[in-house]
Amino acid sequence: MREVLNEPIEVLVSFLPSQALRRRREDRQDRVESRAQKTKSIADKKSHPQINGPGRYNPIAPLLFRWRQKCYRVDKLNLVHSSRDGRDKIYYFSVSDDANFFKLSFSTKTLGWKIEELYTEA
Amino acid sequence: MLHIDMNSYFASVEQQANPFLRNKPLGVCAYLSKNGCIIGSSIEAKDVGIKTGCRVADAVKLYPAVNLIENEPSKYRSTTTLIFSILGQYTDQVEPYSIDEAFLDMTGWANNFNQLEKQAAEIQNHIKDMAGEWMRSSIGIASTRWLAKFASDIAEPDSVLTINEDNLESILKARSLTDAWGINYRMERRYKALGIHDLLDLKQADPGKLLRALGKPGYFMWANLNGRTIDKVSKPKDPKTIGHSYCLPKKTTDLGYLKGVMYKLCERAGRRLRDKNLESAGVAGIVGFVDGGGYRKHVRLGEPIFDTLSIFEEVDKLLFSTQPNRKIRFLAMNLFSLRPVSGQMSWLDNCLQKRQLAKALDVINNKYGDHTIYPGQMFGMQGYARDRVGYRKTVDLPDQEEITTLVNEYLN
Repeated sequence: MREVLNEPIEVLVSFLPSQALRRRREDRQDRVESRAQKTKSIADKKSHPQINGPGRYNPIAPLLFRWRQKCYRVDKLNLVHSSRDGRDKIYYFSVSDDANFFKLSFSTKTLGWKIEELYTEA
Repeated sequence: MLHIDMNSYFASVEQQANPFLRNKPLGVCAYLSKNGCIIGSSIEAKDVGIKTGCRVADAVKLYPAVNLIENEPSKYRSTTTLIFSILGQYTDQVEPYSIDEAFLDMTGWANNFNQLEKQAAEIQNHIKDMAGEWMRSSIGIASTRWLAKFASDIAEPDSVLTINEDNLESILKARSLTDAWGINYRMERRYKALGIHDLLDLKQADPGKLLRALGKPGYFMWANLNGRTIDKVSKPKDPKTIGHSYCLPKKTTDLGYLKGVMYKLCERAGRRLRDKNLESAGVAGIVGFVDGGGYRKHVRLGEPIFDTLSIFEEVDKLLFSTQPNRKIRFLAMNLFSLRPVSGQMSWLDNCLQKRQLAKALDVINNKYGDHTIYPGQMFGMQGYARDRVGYRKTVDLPDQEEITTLVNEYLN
């Protein structure tokens, strides 16, 4: 069952810019090293740290949100994308738990969160 | 040379976002109406016969439990930006070919095909790591751009295929001509008339005979199959044309409605034209009728244009000078002969005022959102001709000098 919504929610987020920046620095260092050693075996290059998923460089990840007086815990962050509405940049977080998929949005203009879409396995 | 092609891209992005859609037939539609077109189907949907181009009504007949969702261009563009930024970490020569394909010139970044294969596998894993585990791709590796794309086209999903001198002929043997990039069923008939039935026959054919019978396209196809470099990975250039099209939800002869929709198409094309700081010296308009058929008209202009009103006026003269007597189902417009803005003033027209007004309107709409300020003729058209992902390819044919050099090399 799919439902399109546009309702405000309260969200608890993890905000760890230091980790995201550290991962970005490490990856950049890997690239610089690999270019300096481009005549050697590139397969020996250090593999990327095992931090998986689209949240790798995202300093913000929703953990928990309250909607219609009920708390939902986010188990997985599946995709992050953005769009523009004039100068307002809106970030969309596609998250899921065991039974539901939610599309949450964050507006950089209003600094508000909304739930845009809900999908439930019938 | 490497070519990467994301598998079932639109559907894969949607399945990545919503894990409950994975391993199920899924169709991404331009519009969810009965006659809406499926612009991307998942691997599972393709297995049951629902392919790109299928109508929504037909898809439901083929598989009633198919999941159908409307496309979301910003989602695909964001993911493409991320993927291309990943590709840029492996080489500085990346040519985006479409929203889900790119060429990578790996010259200087790998010594042999074995290293390239390892790098290709690493690229696939890196994309899954960053964009999501459901984002699978096929990668083709070869010595030329054309062969690399051919390899990725015939590779299995989520795999890497290398074409080299040792396996080229075995891969081409008994492979249909239409499997080659650039040969459609019409060209296939012409090749078969020359006694060429598969790609190996084409590779081994006499290039002189192909040049005489089919002209340069015939020769180029032979050269591509024989691993001769025709074109290189290039940086994206300014477009040669800018246009928009729309299948009308309301089939009608009502000129007010048709002009409103066409104005919106002109506004979208005009915004893109001005964003790229270009002006246009040619305008084309296309109409398709409900009962079949249609027409295309175009005009070359003495003075280049750039503002929406001027573009619309030209299209209006081409298409709507008389009341249509048949219901129209499709409208399109196109700007060609594009060139950088020259700044040349005109004795006949106050183009400076028009330019300043167009820029001011763009600034307002960029800041506060599309359709914050718009002409009265577009009133009520907000829901029409919405943002869609284009399928434009960025391939350019070799220029005249290169063609002459290649042909002379062969003849000598």
